[in-house]
Amino acid sequence: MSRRPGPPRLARRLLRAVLPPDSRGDIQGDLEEVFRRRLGEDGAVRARLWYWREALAMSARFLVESLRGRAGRGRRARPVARPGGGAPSWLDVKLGLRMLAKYPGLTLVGGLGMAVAIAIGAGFFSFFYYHLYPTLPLEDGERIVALENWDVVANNEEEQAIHDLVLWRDELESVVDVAAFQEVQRNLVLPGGVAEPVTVARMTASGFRVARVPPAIGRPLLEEDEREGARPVVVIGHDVWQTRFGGDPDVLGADMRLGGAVHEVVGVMPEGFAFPMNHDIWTPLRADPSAYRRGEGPEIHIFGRLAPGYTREQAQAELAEIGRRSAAAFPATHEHLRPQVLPYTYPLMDIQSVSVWEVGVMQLVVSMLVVVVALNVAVLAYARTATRSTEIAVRSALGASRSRIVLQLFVEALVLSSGAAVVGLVLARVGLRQADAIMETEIGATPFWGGIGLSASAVAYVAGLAILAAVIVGVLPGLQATGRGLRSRLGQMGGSDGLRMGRTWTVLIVAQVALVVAGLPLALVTGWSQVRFATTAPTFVPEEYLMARLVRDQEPPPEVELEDYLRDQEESDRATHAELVRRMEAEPDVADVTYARQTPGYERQALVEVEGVPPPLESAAGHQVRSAAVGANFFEAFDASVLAGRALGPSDAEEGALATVVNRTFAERILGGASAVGKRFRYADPGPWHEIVGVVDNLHDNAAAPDLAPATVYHALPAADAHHAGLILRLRGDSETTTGQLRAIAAELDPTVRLAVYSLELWERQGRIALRLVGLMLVLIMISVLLLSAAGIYALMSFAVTRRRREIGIRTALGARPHRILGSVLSRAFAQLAAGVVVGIALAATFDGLAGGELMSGTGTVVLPAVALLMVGVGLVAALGPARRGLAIDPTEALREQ
Amino acid sequence: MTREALGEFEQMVMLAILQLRGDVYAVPIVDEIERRTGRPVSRSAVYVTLRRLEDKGLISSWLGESTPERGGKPRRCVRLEAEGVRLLRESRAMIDSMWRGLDPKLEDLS
Repeated sequence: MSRRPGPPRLARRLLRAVLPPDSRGDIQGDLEEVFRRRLGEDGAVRARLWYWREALAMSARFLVESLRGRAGRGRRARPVARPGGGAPSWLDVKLGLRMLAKYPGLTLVGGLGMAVAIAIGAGFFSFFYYHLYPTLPLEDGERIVALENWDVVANNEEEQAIHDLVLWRDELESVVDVAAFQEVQRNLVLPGGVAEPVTVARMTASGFRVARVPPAIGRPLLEEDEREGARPVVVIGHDVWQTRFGGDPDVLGADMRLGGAVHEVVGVMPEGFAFPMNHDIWTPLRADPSAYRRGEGPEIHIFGRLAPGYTREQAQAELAEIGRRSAAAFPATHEHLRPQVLPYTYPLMDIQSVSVWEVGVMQLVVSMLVVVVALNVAVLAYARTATRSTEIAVRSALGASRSRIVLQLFVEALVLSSGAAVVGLVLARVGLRQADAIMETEIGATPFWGGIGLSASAVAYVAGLAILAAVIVGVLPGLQATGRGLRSRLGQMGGSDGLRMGRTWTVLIVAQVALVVAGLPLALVTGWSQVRFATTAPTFVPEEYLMARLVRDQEPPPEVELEDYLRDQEESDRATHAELVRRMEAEPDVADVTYARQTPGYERQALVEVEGVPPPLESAAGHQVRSAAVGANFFEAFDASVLAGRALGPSDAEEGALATVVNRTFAERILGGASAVGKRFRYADPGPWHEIVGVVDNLHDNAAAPDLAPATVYHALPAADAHHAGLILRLRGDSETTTGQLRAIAAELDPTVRLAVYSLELWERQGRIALRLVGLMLVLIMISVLLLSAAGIYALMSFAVTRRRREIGIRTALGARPHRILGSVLSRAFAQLAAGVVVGIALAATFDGLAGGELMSGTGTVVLPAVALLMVGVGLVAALGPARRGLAIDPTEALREQ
Repeated sequence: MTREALGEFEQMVMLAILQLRGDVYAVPIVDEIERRTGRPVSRSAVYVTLRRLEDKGLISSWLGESTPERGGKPRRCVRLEAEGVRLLRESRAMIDSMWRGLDPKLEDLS
């Protein structure tokens, strides 16, 4: 049985957003009731159409009511507005909607332009707001603060602050429950022996008091867990409890092996708890200053809660005083440290000393985009208002005040800008979701205070932008249209002269064409080079390759000297790595095993000097190459054939060996196709000369721009250093199975060793996401700029033709040739386009000259004229419609209008 | 004391409330006005008018029952207050006094 259709979801959402909360339920209920009735009588399609119509009418009505301050039930009624007086009416909105329908071009172009500008503004705002004013979803979250030592010499945060943690905890009065956490990576070893790297928050017991969230089961970490010799315990998050322990209610007391140590589970935190950042496993952090010298020890993040009655500024003053005392007592380590009290998230998001003022200025610059777009739309609206000058004059004569008329024009513009704001918000939301997805891939998970979303403040900011845009689009042309000469216009009624096209608007059009001509090539060149770089694709199949790196928990026991510890670790890593390679080679699903220091495609960038080859013109410092250190059978694993000479062998990896292999692009681009074997090069920071012993085929090629394929040199990586490199596996089968096998073998060999495993395909995919975003932004901005320019010229032309209707009529009646009339009509547009193009080219040339030809990478001679031609073309197309209308004017009709 | 006169639409809504029996809420009010006047009525205008009348203290409202056909949402039932009834009477008296003695004249004109 099919489900009965319900009212359109989007329309319901619209109502939910617009209706006042106290009436939302009953009005939606009424509409649904009638909808059901209509469903039976008229069928689904008509019923849905009816619902949409009602929803739109209702939304518009209540929007106006809320503007007039009548949104809330039970408010005292305001006195009835004086006829012709201040308050906007429903009629104004209706008129605005009608105007939108009557001028679809203006609606579409102006609306789209504003929507894109508003989306960009909202996106930036949300980004800044999210970073500067995050809301912590914890009790009194705004009173949780971070404490950090700022190193004024290194211009960095000094995180090795275990001594300060204890000092601050003991001395601070304005901050209570001073706590700290350290993020560490550990292998979670499961009963089957499979190990999985997890992120653990080592946190002092006071951290749980700061969060003020009680555990769902058991207890949080306690001070006694931090004591020397205490039994290792762990508190786990809800997800870990569900996935690792199957939600077992008797989980307390269970064992959990993290790296080399077995921990006892003593508590389970409730669902959604991820304090201090995005964590779900907590072990005790022992804050024992006696174990470390001052300025040494683990890197920790310190935080706490402002004590009741204290502000952050007071806490800052107290901490600064303690800091001064520390600097005096321990000048060697503390002289250059300035402790500071910051909002909790700042150090975690790497925000340092950003002034709100700076961000405000940046936001203002972004908001200017809306102003520029709105000014453009104002040109269009002014042309439209001009055609209504007679109507305005009549209304004025009938007693409408100037403010009433301007208010009406404002409301009309507000209808347009509000629509644009809604579209802009939707666009911003889509963009921010993409940004969140990228952030999640980058840092692993969204922090517990959420991703970048559209906050209520962002919506308020957008509302502000919409009002600002409406002021520019409605009030500016309105004031000009109702200014001096209004009465005289009434006297000339019937004459089509109406308003004059002010000099302001002409200047605006010229400036805009100039900006497009100057700015578009820069945007095009920059965007295109991004796209060209990103089209560099691997010649191998990235899905077939896995890369794994060995990482070890660095936990030197206090009784062992650090140097001995590190030497032992090195030995152990080498053995583990060799055994891992041997075992993986034996796996049937693994075709090849090799290793490389860098991920293919992300090699180290370097400048080289090649013997007998002059440096390139663009950089006297040397040739830009990429440099990689690879294992002996690296090229076989990637099917890169040897084109000349030989591949790298074991002897090339010996101490002092200087043989290298280069790729095809190196040989072709840097050596101009000459035989590469036997040539020598050295790195720009003068070192020994390396000899080229072979040429291999490229691992990355660029079909669209072959010159962008990277020139790469390969050095042999000594087998003894292989454990520092990434293990690369070429697979025959499924990557997940092999990842599991890899982890199992690694855990079996050494439980304290962790493997970071990733597919080469993931790296390629991330590059593509960024490309898509850049491309999308570029296309949107270009389309809006072009559309707006075209629309501005169109409006100007329409206006000029309308104004000269009578003159054209008379000239046609007197026998003027059509091409002369066309010429005179188009001449103004040509003059403005030409002026704009000339100014634009001059601007572009100046910018390019200032940047030493960098901006256009020498392609200005092609791109600049192309953009200028495009603008002239767009301008002509835009001017053609009104010009043809001018030609079609019937002389008798034009004269009869007198 | 200055007093606000009732608008035509306000009067229609208030009269529809009086005409109806049982649960009186926006849906039957719209139906009643459309049925009696033969003209389509803007639903949003009815809601806005009901809110305004309530703000003026001429009617009062409360949330009634919710049914599955209404998506589980309640009805907002309304009833006339004494002040509303008084203003309605006043409006009628005003109109009646304006009409008084006009019938013969109208007949002459038609």
